[in-house]
Amino acid sequence: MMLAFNEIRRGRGRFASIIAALSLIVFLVLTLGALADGLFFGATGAVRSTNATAYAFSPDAKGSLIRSSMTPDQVREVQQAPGVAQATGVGVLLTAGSTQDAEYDVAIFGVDPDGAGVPTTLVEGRLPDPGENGVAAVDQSLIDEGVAMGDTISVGSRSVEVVGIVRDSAYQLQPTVWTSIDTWRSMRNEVRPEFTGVDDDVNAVAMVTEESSTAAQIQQEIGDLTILTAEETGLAIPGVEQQSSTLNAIIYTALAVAALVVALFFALVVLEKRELFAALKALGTPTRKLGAGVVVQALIASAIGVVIGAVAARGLGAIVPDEVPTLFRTDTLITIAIFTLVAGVVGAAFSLRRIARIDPATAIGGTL
Amino acid sequence: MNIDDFVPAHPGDPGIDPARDAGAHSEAILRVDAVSKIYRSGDSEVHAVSEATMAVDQGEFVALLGPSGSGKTTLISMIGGLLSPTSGTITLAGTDVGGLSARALTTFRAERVGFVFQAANLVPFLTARENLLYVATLQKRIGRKEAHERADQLLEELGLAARAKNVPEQLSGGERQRVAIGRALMNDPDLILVDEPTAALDTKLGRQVVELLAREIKQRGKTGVMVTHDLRMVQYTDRVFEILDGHLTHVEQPSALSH
Repeated sequence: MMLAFNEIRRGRGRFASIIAALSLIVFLVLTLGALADGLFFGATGAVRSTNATAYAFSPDAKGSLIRSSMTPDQVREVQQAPGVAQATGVGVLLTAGSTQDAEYDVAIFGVDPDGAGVPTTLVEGRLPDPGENGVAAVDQSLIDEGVAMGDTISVGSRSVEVVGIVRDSAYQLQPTVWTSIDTWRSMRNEVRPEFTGVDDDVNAVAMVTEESSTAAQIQQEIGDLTILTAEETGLAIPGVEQQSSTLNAIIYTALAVAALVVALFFALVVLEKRELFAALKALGTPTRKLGAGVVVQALIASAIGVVIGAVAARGLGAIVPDEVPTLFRTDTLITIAIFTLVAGVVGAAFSLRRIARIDPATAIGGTL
Repeated sequence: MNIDDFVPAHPGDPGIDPARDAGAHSEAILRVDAVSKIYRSGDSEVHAVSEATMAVDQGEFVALLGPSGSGKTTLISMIGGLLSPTSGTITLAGTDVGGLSARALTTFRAERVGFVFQAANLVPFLTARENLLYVATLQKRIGRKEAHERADQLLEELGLAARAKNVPEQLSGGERQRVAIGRALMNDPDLILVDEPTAALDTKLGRQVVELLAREIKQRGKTGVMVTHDLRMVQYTDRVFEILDGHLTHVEQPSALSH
């Protein structure tokens, strides 16, 4: 290890190149990761941050809250299904809501405060009480955009007063407004006149399932409806799964490039040090010690790359406009850091055979 | 003057029996007994070293003369545990070198043999002192504290005390070769193997380095084998062996070599 550390310490110029390359890759990967997380969390908050464990949709809705539409009979069917502890309707309306000062794109969610599908991430104030109309808890992002507690948000002639704040509850990157089902439906009927007179429908049913039962089992009981877990419901939101898989593919490709860069770098280093390695082996250095040195160097370079890349990515994250949905999660940082270190070790491992093949006998004789 | 220019006095003379000459040394610390190295490629065989026999006493510094391709590199590599002989035995202070496993050979080289290479071959990113300390990490006989004292003492003796913190790049060719000598002595080996130590130096520096080597080997009661093709370096050694086309002979009168 004496060799590995001192080589980096005294040969900074050479290692600067590999560290710079790894830093850039980590920066790219972390930025993409933050974007992937931002998009995913921003799209799915409304179904992740609630007490619901599963959702039921009308058969033609393909698991989409907006496309689904359910009658009271269908709601009752879900409520009576075995394995369902609690089930209540959920209404969703994507629209524009206005306060005195400004207009906002919002997702109005109508839920039963005593039932399922209710946000569990209240940070301030309260949710509407059961049966209470005309009040709402709103997503933190709406507060960040300038809405305050006590403000009135209007949709057409209907309006709600902001009485609480929840976090991480956005739906399709739009801030949510959580109100009663009746208030939701009255707003919906204003915006969508074709629903005039319809006063008992909901979009979907949120469920709290009993611990022993799964969404798949409930699906077997209720063949004519679509039952998805809360997680599946998030992925079924249009674009979410495609975005995640595309960004993840880019991230894994970039990590593979990191491994390749490390492999090429150490292949060159080892090639250049053949003579020295032969002499060191002749002096009695075991091959594994030389190999371990290269792996340790790859780990150090990767670790420094992670630190520089993370600082740079956070720096960029701090200056991107709020409209770009980025979310820096410690989980993602740790995962990417581990993957980068693994990529470094895998890259360095390609040099091990080359090191093993160096013949110490070549240290003698040589040039003459 | 170069060995390439000179014709041996008795090429293949049956009167010269290396075994007899070498066998006279019953106290020998290094014994090379009928050692051959044969390289096979396809149907042809190349006898790099044929039936080499020599014995070197403790405290002796011997030269191994020979032109390129004579087999001297092969022989010294086998003595140093870098190549295994095709037949014959090599013993160093009672250890049968040929009988050691690859792993044991690595330890053997670290603890029992000191190498001085042609081009010093120091670790470029370690200081002179660290170059010495590095080889101490490869063995277990000398403790950490003792190794530090030993390194400082060696550097002092080799006139490198002021250069201890310099990396090889900052040292002259002669200084580098002196660090290499210190490195070879560092682990207190039984045998010092020296490969063309003057190859990368001018004549004057070359002489100084070999003189220093001879002195260190004598003072410490070490045993040294130096491969060279430079007849002028022979004067610093006790005995001279010559190898031509793989055949090792003991040179009775080294002075006769230069006419």
